[in-house]
Amino acid sequence: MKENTDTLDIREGYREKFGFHDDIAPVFKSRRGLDQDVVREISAMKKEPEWMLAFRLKALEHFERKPLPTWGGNVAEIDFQNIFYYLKPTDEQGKSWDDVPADIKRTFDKLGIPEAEQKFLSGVGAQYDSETVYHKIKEDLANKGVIFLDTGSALEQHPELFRQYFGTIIPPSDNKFAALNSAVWSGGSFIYVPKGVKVDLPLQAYFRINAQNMGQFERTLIIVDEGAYVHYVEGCTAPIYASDSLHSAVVEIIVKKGARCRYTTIQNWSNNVYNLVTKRAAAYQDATMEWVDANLGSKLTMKYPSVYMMEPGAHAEILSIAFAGKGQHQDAGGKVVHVASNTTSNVVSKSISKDGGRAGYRGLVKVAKGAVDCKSTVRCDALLLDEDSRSDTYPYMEIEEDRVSVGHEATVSKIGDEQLFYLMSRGIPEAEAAGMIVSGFIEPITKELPMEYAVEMNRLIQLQMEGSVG
Amino acid sequence: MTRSETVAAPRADLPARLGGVNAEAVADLAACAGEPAFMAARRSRAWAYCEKTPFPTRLEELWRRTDISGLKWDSLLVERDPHPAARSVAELPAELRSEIGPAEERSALVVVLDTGVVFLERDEALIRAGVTVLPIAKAAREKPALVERILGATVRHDESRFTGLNAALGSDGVLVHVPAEVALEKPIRVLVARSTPDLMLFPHLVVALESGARATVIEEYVSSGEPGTAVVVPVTEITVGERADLHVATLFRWAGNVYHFGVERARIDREGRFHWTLAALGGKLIKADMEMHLEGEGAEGKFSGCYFGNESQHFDFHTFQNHVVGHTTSDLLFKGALRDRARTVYQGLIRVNKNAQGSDAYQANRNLILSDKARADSIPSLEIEANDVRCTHGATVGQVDSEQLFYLMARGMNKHDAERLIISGFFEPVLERIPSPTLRALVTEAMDRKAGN
Repeated sequence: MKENTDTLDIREGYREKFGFHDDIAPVFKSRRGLDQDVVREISAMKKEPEWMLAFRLKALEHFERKPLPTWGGNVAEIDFQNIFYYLKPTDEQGKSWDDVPADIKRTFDKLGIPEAEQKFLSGVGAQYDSETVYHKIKEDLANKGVIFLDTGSALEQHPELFRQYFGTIIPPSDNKFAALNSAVWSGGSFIYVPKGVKVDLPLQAYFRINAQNMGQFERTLIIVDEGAYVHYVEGCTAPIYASDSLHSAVVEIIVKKGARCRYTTIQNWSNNVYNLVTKRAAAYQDATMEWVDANLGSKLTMKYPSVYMMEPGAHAEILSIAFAGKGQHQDAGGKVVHVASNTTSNVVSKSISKDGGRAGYRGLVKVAKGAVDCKSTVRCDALLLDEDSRSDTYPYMEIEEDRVSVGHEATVSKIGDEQLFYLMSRGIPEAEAAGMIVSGFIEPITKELPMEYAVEMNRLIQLQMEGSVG
Repeated sequence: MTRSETVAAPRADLPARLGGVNAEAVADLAACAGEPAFMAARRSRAWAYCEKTPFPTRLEELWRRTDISGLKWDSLLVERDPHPAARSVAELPAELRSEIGPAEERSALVVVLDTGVVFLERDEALIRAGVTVLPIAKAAREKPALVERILGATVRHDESRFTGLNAALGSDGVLVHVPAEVALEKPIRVLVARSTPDLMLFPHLVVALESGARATVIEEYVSSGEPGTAVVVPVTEITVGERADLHVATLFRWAGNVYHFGVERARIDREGRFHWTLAALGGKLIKADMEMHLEGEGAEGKFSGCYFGNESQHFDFHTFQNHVVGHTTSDLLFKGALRDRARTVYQGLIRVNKNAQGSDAYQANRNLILSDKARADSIPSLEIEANDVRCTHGATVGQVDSEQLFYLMARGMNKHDAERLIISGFFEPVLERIPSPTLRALVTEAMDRKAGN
């Protein structure tokens, strides 16, 4: 039998695969807690320009002033003063894989990142705690002018481009957790794709939280210039510790005229991570923004990737999967805001609840005044695998124009006895049959993933389903 | 045969305005109305609750979309002398007479004007069957045990400042009680009307059907637009006993100056059937909580609602289908149209509790937006804690269907008429359920008037 603690039994297999942690002495570790001095210290360590320090301090004010949200999940237990806000694991960022320290490399080896890169990935940026230790992009992309850096380096190397877009999509005052991120952010990815450049293979970054009580506050900024295309994939894991960690990222995306951006997340944090993330994109004329957002891990996730369609012809797609097992609450969803006329959006959400878990969809469709001939459809399906679990659907529709077509549909059901009987009568064990049905249920979304992620996704689902019957 | 009765409205020495009300005044009110001790105690508990409970603000989820901070509560009147009782329909004010229609359409009629009941009429069959249709104060004197059992059993005084004010300051309500196994063929009508400027009203309707009873109740809220600010804070409590079958039609037909903050709640016992029809046309601002709690296995609740907002009307509906136990069914259809600068909010929740296996729930909200300045918010939510359920919801917001429009216009109809026809077709499935030909015609006509503007 596997050795499991109470908090882990729905995520069997997690400890073996991801639940390791390496003893690494960070080069720099801020003290616990948060105040102006910690923020100044972070900014000084990173040798940032004055405007960034001012930005951080202003954000800290917003964070201190804003109340905790009273809706969604329970965030009252987060002890903001017991968190390390910044750790720097190595002195210098590795230029090639060989330069990455051996112990950190071991961690990545366990995650299988280098192999992935060797195969066909165009670039790997892996964030280890707060700074990206390894970043490489294929020569040809660099030659085309594609910038793929960790966010801190981008501030240093492309200060003007950076300042033009940073914080323009999600201002620090947006919400309490965006304010927190704005005050203490470090790491994350910065991507700039020049006009007309299509990046054929997905760019990837893998995030891990290693240290206990470590907050992870990465900040990602993606600019897809006119007619360009990029697909960014992030995966997240964290080792298992007794106390809770906080992950609060901010992701800002600008998709310019005729461009397309897809952002795929496979969130598989361990069961003690609060995952409170603000993700937002602005899509301009005829641009397309697609969020593929799968949430399997964490203790509590509150995340609603949004798309603001700013100019005519913009299109938004949100595909969301939420899987909640024992002790988990996935408050997932998305927002589509039709600011301009002739914009369209499509949201598909699949949520699964099991072993007392709570999964749901919370979403907004907004058609602003003056935005006519807009079309939006939202489809939410929920699967409840046992009588102890819970499913929520909270779709908000705010429509301020008449020439629109907005539709929302949702169903909640259990695994069909007939489907189960059909598979079992063909000799498939019950747990496996249930797993197949769940995989089929989320198929419309997994088929949108890059192949190795689709395989991983189905394996994770299978892992979660095992031991669920009998 | 019908029998009319005159009923004197109670008189109390309340300070005239809400700002001056205190615990003593509330105690006087109970004394003047000749209420039994349990009712007086209920009033004073409710007032104590009001004193420490502010009006809701936009920080509360269900009030986020309705701002009432501009209302000058303290200056609103809470008292007036009773209107003279009418001895027949002919003696009622003219604007109410047109609402009432022929006597054959009803088994009872109660008219509440401002603070008291001014007319009560019940047919012989209803009285013989032991059905109670009375002002609450009078019912409490005649049948204290019954009233104590059902009054406040569904809506508590300590849910919000509004339910608190209703319980503390309500001058007189109406009680409808149908004994076990009694079936009434014709509807009981309760007409609530207002005519005094700046007067705050607290209507209270209690409807209770014992096991196996069957009845139809029409509650109607009307006014013809007296000057000033009109605030109405009603509470409706409905209980449907085992195997009982109740149809309630709720009609909001206020004039354009009325602010309405209401709670209406039905509890349905084992194998009970409850059918609710709602038509909302009038009022400046309507904020209504309408809830069905399915509390016994086999209980069934069906809700058909429609609303039509124009000018600067603001409607905010919250519906709640609460499956407390299993093998219960709920089915809700809410249809709305908006024109001019109207704003509507539909916020609905289906809740299936942990042990409510075998529940079947449906919820649909359809909105037609007829003006680029109107705004419709729709929030149809689900909270499901049992897995063996069937639960579906849907919501749409859109314009008049262009294909339907084309079909009619291709047959020679002009655009304006074609739109009117499509809108009246949109509402017809709900309006045809109004259980009185007179009222159905009045409401349909009013809807058509709004559609044709």
